[in-house]
Amino acid sequence: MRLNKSIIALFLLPAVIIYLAIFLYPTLRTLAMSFYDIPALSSKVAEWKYVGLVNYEDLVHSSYFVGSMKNVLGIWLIGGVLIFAFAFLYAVILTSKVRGVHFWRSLIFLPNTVSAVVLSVVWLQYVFNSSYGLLTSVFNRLGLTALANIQWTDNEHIYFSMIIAFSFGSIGYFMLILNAGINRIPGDYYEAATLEGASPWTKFFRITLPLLRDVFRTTLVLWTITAFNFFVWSATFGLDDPHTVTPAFYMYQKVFGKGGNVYVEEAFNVGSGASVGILITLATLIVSALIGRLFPKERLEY
Amino acid sequence: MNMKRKAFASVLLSTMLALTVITGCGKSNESEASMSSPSASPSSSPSASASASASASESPASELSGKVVFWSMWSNAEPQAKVIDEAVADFKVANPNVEVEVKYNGRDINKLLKPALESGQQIDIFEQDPGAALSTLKDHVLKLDDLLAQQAIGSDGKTVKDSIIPSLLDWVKSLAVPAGLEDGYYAIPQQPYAVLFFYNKALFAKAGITAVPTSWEEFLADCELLKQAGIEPITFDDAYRDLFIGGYLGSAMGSDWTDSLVKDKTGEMWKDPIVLQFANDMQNLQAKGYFSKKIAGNKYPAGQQDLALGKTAMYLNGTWLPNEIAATAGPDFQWGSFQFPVVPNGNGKGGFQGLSFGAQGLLMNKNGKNVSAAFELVKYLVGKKAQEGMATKALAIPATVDSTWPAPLAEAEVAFQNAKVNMPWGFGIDNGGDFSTGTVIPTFMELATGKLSPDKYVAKMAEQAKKFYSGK
Repeated sequence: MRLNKSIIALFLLPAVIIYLAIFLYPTLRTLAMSFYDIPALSSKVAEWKYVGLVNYEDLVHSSYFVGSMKNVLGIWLIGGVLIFAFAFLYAVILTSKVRGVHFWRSLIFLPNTVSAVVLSVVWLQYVFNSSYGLLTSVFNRLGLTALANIQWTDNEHIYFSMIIAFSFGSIGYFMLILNAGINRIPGDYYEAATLEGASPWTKFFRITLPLLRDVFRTTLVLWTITAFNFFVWSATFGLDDPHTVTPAFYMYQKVFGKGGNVYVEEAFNVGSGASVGILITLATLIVSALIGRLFPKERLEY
Repeated sequence: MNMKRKAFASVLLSTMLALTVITGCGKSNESEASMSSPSASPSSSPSASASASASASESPASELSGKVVFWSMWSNAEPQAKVIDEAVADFKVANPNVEVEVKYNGRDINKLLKPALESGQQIDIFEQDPGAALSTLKDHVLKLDDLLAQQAIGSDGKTVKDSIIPSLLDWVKSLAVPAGLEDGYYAIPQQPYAVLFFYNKALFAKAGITAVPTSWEEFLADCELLKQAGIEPITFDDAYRDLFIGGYLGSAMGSDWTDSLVKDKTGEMWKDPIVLQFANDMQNLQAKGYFSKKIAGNKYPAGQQDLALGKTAMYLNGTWLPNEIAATAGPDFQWGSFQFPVVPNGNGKGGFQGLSFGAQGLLMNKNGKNVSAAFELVKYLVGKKAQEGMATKALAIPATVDSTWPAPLAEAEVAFQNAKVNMPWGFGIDNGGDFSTGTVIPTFMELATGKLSPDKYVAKMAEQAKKFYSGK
């Protein structure tokens, strides 16, 4: 039975209204807010002061904000390489019929079940601590005093320390998606390849990778969104240190204040925070589109 | 089957996690409860409640009725909340017809309060930093001048105004006009704090130091004595790096100068000889090993734990420090404190007269429907008994005059007596916004860890300041 077009519209209406109300309206309002100077999040529209593109100009001229953009690109690139290298490795190992697959998979996924705040405290206060931290103790035990004396959270090291700590917690999530993707590839291909005498490397590069292209593209977009909204780790690792600040955390500082200490007075500009939000959205859209260009959708996939 | 096992494994894992979290919390709650219970019982002694009800019966308070809502900045697990609960209980005994609702918001109050007030929710009394509250909530605050003339509770016939430390009240009053309000009192200060050097008296004694340093020269001499005795002199955490820069420059030049330094668009102010002197002195502290090597990577609260554990002798912080690290330091820790030593060659606007101090405040809603009952409750909250409860249970400085200060802060009283000028947090060094966080503090860390020479520090700061402000 063919449905009348108006009936289709009627059935779609609730979903469309909800979508417009909870997604499109806030986005448009944020876009509008980015052109105003707004003293507090709860300010009435009458208190907004129109400033045009000044918020954006200030951001471009602020070395602190520009630094935060460089930081996030580094996180995206370095963290991405780290995470995908390990996620692929584990996903392939887990699909190669090792014993206790479920146990290992749960173990690798485990950090994802812990709150990021808890994980970062563990890394900061227990792993990287320079007097009794894990790294210091282990290196001391091994007699590697030069390595043991490194302060993992000083100006020079904190950025990479943060990326390592964050990547540790994120590998499991991407591994799970890749793992599911690999499991969907029919075993026949591997059996045929094995009969022909292909090495594990050949099988990975000639069978797994090409057939995973679509899954990989999706995880890459997911990673881009995660990386561009990098927030909690920046907040817990650096407070407002320029070495670890990211646009998302900068946005938070502008909207909710610098925090850290209840005794600091400060001036907010919610409008400036909104313009950071708009820039993050734009960057995510552009990079996602580029990824779509680089990995066009293919019919041959599982 | 497969699915079931997976589900089981995930349930098991999450249960284990939840359990560890819950047991972790449970322990700390238990210890807090057991710590406070013995001290709670003597405070409800008959004499105290008798005096409270006696003073209440003099005023027409007992006729009060209605509902009073109080939003607190503490969370219900903090020791301050227990003191507030007791004050509310005393209030209820004297005013049985008033219904009191206390909401313990914790520091989230800073985000929740304004929307709540603007939506017209009933909040009669709230706690806030007075400076921040007057600037952002000026349409909601009640002028308290008339109410302050009422009799205070438990202060032998003094008015509320006379029962509070005068310098704090003066400070609160001075905030009104700059915020755009009519001159007057809009907040009652409480929980006063000051930024001071805190030190471990046992370690000072071990190094043979008999008096606290007052000048930079004495400070260096004491650092040397500590070092000779094998004790690490100074440490700080990433969260308080600003205090060290601000402390030095504020002590030399006062906070107005520091404020204009970080806002100077030309960068020329950084070429002032005092900045080079600052850089040389910081390099000296680093080169002689007076700074802990760990300052480079200290993540709050790692540095203050070193003080609590007796590894380091001094830490520059607010007077809340002894309470904050009481669990690690233990009851036998001998606390001492002194003001930032006087730096030579200043402009005479710093020194001991300038102290970075402030307080939290109790404020009232202008649109409150039950002002008389609400102020009666405020009187209990700033009454002598509650304020002394804050001193004994939360190691906070009492806001009332003639109250005994908590023992770990006994020496801090000296600084409050010296103080004539209130300097802002960080002595103004944080007033540069993104320039302060993005440039001033990280460049100072390069200097303090020996990666930048004093001359290069001055040159870099001047150049960076010019560059930062050129776009504006």
